[in-house]
Amino acid sequence: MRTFQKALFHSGMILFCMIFVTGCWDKHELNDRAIIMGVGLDQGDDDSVIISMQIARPSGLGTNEQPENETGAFEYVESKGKNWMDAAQHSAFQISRYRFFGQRRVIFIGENLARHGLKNMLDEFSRDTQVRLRTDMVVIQGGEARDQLKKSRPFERVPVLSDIKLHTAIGGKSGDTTFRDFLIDVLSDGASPTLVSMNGNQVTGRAVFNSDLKLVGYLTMDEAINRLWITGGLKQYVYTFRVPQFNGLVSLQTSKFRRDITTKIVDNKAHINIALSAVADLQENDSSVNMYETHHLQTVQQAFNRYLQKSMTDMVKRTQEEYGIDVFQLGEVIHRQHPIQWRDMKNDWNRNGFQNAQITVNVYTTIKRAGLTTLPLQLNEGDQSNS
Amino acid sequence: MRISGRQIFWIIVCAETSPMESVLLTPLFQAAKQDAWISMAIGGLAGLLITFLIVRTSLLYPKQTIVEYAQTILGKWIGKLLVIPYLVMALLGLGVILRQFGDFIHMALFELTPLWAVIVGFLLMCVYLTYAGGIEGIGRSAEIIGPIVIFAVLLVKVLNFSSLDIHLVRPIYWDSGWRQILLGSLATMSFVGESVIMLVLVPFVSQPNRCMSYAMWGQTVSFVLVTGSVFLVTSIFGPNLAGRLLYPAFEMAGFISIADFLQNVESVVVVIWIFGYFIEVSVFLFVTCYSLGQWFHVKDWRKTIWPVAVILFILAVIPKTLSTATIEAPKTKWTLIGIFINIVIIPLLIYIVGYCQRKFKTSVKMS
Repeated sequence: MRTFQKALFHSGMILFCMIFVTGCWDKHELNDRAIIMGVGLDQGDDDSVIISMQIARPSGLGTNEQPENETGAFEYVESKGKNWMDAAQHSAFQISRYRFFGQRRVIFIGENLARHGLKNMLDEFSRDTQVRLRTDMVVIQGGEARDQLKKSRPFERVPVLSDIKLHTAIGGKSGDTTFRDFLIDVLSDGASPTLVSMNGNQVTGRAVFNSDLKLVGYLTMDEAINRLWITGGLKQYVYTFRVPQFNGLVSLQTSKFRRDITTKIVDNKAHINIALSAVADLQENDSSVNMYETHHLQTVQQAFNRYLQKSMTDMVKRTQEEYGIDVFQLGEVIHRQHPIQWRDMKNDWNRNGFQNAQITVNVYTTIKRAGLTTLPLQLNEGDQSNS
Repeated sequence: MRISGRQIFWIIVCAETSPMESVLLTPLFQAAKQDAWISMAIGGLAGLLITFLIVRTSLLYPKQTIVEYAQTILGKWIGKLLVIPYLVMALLGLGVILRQFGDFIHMALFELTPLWAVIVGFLLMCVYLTYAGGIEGIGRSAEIIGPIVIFAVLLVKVLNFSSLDIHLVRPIYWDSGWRQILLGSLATMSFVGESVIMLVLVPFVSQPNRCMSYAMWGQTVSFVLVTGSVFLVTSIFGPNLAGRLLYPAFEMAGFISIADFLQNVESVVVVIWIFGYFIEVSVFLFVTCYSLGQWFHVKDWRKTIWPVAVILFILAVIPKTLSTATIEAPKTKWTLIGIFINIVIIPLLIYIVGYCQRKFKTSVKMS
């Protein structure tokens, strides 16, 4: 009898535990979920906001065949609301499934919204428990985020994946840490947040935000690349420029980018020296010069350094004069190198500090190789110039 | 009931690593910013000292728990009185731990499941282990779970290596200064204090004289692991962002992405943290119930488990919001003072008195 009672007790316990094992409160089968891959945010008229979503259609993802219809493997939904949660709630009226945000890979921001400011958007997008910090974030230059989500793309079934890959390819760094990098810049005194900007299927440069998180302008693509060198994320890039002595264009495949930033503070004014170095391979030579003559290669190298120095200095000057905010994270460098003086400087850095800073850029590149040919093949010996 | 020294090691590793990793980091970042890892290291060193003191005290009478030797040393009444703060701390502490655990799981995995269901399910499991296995069962479970916990903690670190930026940890020291760093160390107090379990566990260890080295190693391993995590969190999210995140180490696990292929592994990590919590709550439950049993002279200490479990459940569901248990409770002045009295002052008092008595007795015998 005792053993029977014991068995009864144990089986009762096991049955009781079963209640919890199922986890039925949070049950969401895969085919009850709408997996949201990308979200677009736009400013509507009269203070409302518009949220648009790209939802993966699992049936279109599995096979390697072309999807039957033109739209690809995704659905598009958009909804309007007073704020983001409100708009997201309204989207539930259009989606028959449980909306799952855990796979969201990218957030698009329409230019209009970016000019209005991103402050109240950041809160919702970091508070939500489903959401991960590993997300890409893109500003749509001169357009609306929802247009970006509607179109299909040439290579990817889920269009937003194409944008992330594009961003990663062009940015060097992996695109999906963007949201984190953005937040770190937002919370830091010595840097201004920037985001990559795109339009359609093209990367157009970099969007610059002020401390109110309002869009103030853009860096061009060339500037964005140069900025990436200064902030330390560039992996490789082909620079093309004119060598005045040879009167021809030269393209250099550049890699092994390094930067060394030294700062000095004189009378509360920052003196910043940015030393950049890289290694380059000659890829295209449109001038009529034999590049296997060392002194010619040296001329190219000097011209390259001068070209970079000028474009870097121009960029820095332009941001100082036009925007007055530090998009190069130079304030953080001062913070690290002069932590005590920084305490007095930090509050003013993004207003006057950066604007008044004296910034010099020096570029030291070395050309290592000149490719497989000596004189360009299309030229005869006699055409060779010896300038 | 007997456990080996190695099991003591694993129990301490489990009980300290999991909770610290999962929930207790935010106040550290808020106080000490990028120097949080220094705070953590200082806290860990203090923990070593405290463990040393506690184990030394327990070794005065290696066959007795604190309930017994406090009475042997200080007499019946004072001895009994001095144990009360421990019982209170154990009950309140367990309540807070349970709530922290519940909130964490609720946030991380089961959003729609009511909090009480999470807590009841977990508590039942711990009660089962304590009731059926006693300290032996706990020790054996810890031996299996401990390596898994260490593996998971290391895995999160290794897989995140690609996304860390060491610059975020600099400048060292100047932004916070020693006051803020020490303030940060205070936030690790509840973590450091977990070695109080040794006050009761020493008599169960088969070779009491080796207790010291195993307990110290357990403490060292877990504090090195957690300091490493703090350092990594700083260099991934930066001090400002880490201070705003409620569960930075959890976010760090969620941040793993290897070649767009290995992602969203935080669920696995959470499950392994739950293992660690399981050991922590069970061992505290055992310690509490066993000493309660001795304190009330109950013949079978197991009888105290059910009432204690009910009290714990009530304590765990009382706080209305998440922040009460997770953010405020560990920082409150009274919590810190209470813990300090329990882990430093009372053991020190007992040790000094006990030591003098022994010296006195031997000198009397000698003469």
